[in-house]
Amino acid sequence: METEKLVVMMVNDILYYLLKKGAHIVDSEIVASSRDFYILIEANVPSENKEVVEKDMKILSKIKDHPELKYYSALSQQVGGLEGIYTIAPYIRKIDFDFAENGLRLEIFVMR
Amino acid sequence: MPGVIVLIYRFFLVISLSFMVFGLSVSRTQIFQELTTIVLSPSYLLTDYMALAGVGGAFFNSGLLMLLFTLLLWILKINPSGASIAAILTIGGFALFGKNFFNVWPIVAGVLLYTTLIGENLKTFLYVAYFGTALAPISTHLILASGFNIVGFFLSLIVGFLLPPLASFCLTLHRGYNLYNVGFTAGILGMFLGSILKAYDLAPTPRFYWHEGDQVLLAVFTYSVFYAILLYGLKLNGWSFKGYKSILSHSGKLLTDFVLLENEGVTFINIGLLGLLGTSYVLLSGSALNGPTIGGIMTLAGFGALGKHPKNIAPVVLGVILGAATNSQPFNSPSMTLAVLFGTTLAPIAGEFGFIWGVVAGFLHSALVINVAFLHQGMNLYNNGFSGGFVALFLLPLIDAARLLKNRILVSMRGESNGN
Repeated sequence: METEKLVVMMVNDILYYLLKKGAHIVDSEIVASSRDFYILIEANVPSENKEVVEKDMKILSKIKDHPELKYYSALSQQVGGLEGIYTIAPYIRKIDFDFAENGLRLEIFVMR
Repeated sequence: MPGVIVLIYRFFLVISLSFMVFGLSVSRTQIFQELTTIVLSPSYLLTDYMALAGVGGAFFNSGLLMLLFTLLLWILKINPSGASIAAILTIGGFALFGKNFFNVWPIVAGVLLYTTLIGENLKTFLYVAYFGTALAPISTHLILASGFNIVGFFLSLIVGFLLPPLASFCLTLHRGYNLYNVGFTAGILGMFLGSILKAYDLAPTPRFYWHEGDQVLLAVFTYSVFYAILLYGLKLNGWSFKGYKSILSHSGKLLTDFVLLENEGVTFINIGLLGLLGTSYVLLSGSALNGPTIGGIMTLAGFGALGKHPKNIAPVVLGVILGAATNSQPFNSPSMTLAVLFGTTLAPIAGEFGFIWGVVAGFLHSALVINVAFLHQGMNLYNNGFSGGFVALFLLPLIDAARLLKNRILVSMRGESNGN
């Protein structure tokens, strides 16, 4: 699958996941350059779900080190999951996330 | 993270070498003869290498395969996770009754060939290749049935080639509720291959090798392995069960990788506990420790890193035992003992939908599993994964319907009480 499509799928999965966790999406941005894509997602997460989201983000940042798990991305059609990220795992260069109060700032760098 | 990588590689190395050393110490000078017998004999279900060749040869073959597949992980620079542990222990387990250092490679090569030809990262379908060795008996049958057959080799390669697209699709059929997805996939592929073989009168004749000797030796070795894994986990976890409760809260549905979701310490504790439970079940039920049952225990324990835990396997085990106690099969017959051990592939159903559905899944599995092996002519070693896939895809819509019905009844009851 072309990288652009993978990027869009992944952003969709993350936005859907955040919405299901009751988050208010403040901003989502995809910057395309000749070498890579920079994805920025900002959201306000309700305090009761902050712990869960933080744990899931930590898992996401681990998954990028396991591109062989991408095979399981066929399960990404299940609602509310973050499995879509597996699809793009081999191309992810970096995942950074930061919680300031309840605001989540997620940055992902994807190689073209 | 690098610490985790080293720990898991060290675990693979130690368990592989332990099996090889144990095999060598049992067989001594007979080892080459036993290994030759293992490689040259047909390996389809049910061929217990301990009965066929000897205890030592079976364990050496198992250790060697675990070592070779660990080496492949290392060459491909894989950061091992729960999926790797499940894959390596499953391969080691089935190398006691069907996989050997000859028949697995055409399947692996076929999967890697597919991955290369579609321009994917070589790592992407690596676990499909690992678990896909469930079809290894086909290699032996096609390549070595009458001397060395090069056409058989290419046919085996094609079998591996077909696995990745099928495995990805099969995941969507049972939605991750059957942990042995490649077993289900291999069963479907094996069903077509078995049918073709039968249509051309090339199907193998049924065979049954089941070792019942050396019980004390095998019990001591199996218990030692899993006690050691439990102690290793406890050591990594600061000699406590802290955090283990968290593992029990997962449904186990694919992809529940305990190394990623929790940590390596509690994962090894879980593996050790499941291995000890499995071994105790086999001995207490009056069955025998041998290639297939130790293979089942190793698979059960291996998936202790990828979704299984005592809480979600218990209802399924109970369901299978209920089936075994009431059906025409003896309670501790080989098929029912293996159904208990491998039937835990359906653990996510209990984990997600509760105790009752877990028991129902186990009960259905106990009946179905004895009726599907003929479809693939015993060529798919993961027969329980094949059966488990059908149970999951049969039950899931029914569970959805039952929930819908329950909600409707609850809503109408509430409506009535409000009306009153």
